[in-house]
Amino acid sequence: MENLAFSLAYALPALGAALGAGMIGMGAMSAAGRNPEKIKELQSLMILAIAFVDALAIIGIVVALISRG
Amino acid sequence: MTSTVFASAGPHIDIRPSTLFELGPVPITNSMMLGLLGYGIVLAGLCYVAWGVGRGKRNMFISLVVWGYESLAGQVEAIIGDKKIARALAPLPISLFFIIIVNYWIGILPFVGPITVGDNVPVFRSLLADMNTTFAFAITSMVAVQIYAIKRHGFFGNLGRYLISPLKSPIMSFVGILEIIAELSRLVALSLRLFGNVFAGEVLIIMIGYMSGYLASFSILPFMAFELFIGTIQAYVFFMLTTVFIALGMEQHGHDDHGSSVTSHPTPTQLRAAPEG
Repeated sequence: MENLAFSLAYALPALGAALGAGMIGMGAMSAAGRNPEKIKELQSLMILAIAFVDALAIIGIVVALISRG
Repeated sequence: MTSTVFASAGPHIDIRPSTLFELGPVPITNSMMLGLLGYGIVLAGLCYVAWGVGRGKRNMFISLVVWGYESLAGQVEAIIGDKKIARALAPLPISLFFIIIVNYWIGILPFVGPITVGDNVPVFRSLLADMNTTFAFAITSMVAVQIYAIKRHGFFGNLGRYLISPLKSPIMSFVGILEIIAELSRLVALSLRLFGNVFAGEVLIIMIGYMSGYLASFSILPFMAFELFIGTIQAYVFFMLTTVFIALGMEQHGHDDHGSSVTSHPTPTQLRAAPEG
């Protein structure tokens, strides 16, 4: 049961982060398709947004490792 | 962390860095040892570049660092519209970028971890795998955000961003309280993002090395390359977030008549490029 809790403590945030990053990528691709001149700025904004989402998954792994050991 | 599959005890993974010895009242931890090396490299490298630029010398190292600085300063300028202010405050996020990237890459070197002393305590550990360090960097960034906001708006103007009177508009006073909570959550998120990436990378390399046995010298290589890449991204993200938070703190509402307002979007360069009317 504890192994399940340990795995879920990372798996659920990773699921959320994967879906979130996919949606951000989708939005960035549509925006790039409509406006190909601004791709450089869209790239910076996309990396920034993905960093926000990625951080939550990383906090998940830290919580999992702390609560286990 | 023992397992039933392998006979020996599991690898030694610690959230907290271990104290190696004490210099008087100050405990010296194993992350401080690598931190000294990292800071030494950053200081020596950047002072050499500054000296070389002052003399007019150009070799490959100096050109590389100058190119890096100029492209990052261009990013700062794109986010903070005003060129003079951007050039004045660019050194803080760019220094953080160089410190984070050098310390991250040093933590991948092979001697970090296997050299142990005493009870399997590693002598070297990445500086950023210590939550104290990443918290200190995050505090530096958020205090800098407040200082630049106070420089821009004045002390009471800055308070006025958070404490809006409920008589004027009740919704905005609630939003103001949420802004205070958002500042604190940005602090925690900045520090935990960096720490989590470094720590997860360390744990990954330790576990892959532990599970590969004698093939560890080959199987760890792709993961070390992955760590190099992630280190670049995380340093760039920390730099970018610091700049964006400073720009958000310095933005002014209601001063749209002259084009030097400091906002994140749309930037004044885009406004000037767009056709009027």
